[in-house]
Amino acid sequence: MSVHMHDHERSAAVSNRVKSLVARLEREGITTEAELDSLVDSFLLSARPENGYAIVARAWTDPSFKAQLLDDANAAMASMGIDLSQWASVTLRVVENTPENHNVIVCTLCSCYPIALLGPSPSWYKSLEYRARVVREPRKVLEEFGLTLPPQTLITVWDSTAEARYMVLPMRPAGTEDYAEDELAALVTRNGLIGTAPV
Amino acid sequence: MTLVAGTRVRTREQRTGGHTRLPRYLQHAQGVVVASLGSFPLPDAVVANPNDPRQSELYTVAFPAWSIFPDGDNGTICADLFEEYLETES
Repeated sequence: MSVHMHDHERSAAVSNRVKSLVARLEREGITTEAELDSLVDSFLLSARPENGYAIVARAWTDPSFKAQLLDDANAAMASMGIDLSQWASVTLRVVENTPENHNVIVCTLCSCYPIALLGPSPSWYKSLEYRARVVREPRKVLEEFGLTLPPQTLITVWDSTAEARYMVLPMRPAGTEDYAEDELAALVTRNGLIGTAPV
Repeated sequence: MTLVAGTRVRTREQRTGGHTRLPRYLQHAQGVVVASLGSFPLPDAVVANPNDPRQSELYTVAFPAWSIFPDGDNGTICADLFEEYLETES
């Protein structure tokens, strides 16, 4: 049996349902496809992984911002001028990597993800394989991403099962003491913020 | 009732036949409350009836990974679970 085929068939079924729903809404005069497109565009315009990169760079350079970020990430976003109004009911939580503990994010039930901070999620994040395996054997899954952790580093897997969305605060790489905030932001990757890369 | 951080809890059986945010792999598991996230509409009830007024406290609960997957890693699994899914352990 091909898992890929199974996913493909399911996504085709969902896509057909969405098309039927949009057609019905148009027929009833409730909305138009163009209006929906423009809503989605404006939603995604502000949802970019650069938001996450900038937050991490600020946390690395400003200890009081970092403290606020770990304590109340929504307030920290607001203080950086990141507009979360479209995600008003979402509680953002940022979890910090240390030499003793590495964090990795998953949503085993569906594909919850901090879109406002990281943009749309990568397809592997939504895959059944990642969702099933990262809770069961995170060290092995991270190795497959090219991230081999020292044996003494424990792993915390955050399963975003409900209202909160999670982002990882990676450790600042050694040798970057002289970097400016924008240079630091350029080091950060999307996978680093999910926990499947070191930075 | 609000559970404070450090409270030991056990998850109930996952209800079948409806929507829930309690993953099956975390049913009948023993963990510790590490954070309280506030009160939210209970998804299990809202999906059945959008006007259902039930709210439930939401907690982050930490489970030792070995207690969930005995052949797994030596770390922690954290999940956000509604009070409806939890029983306190003495």
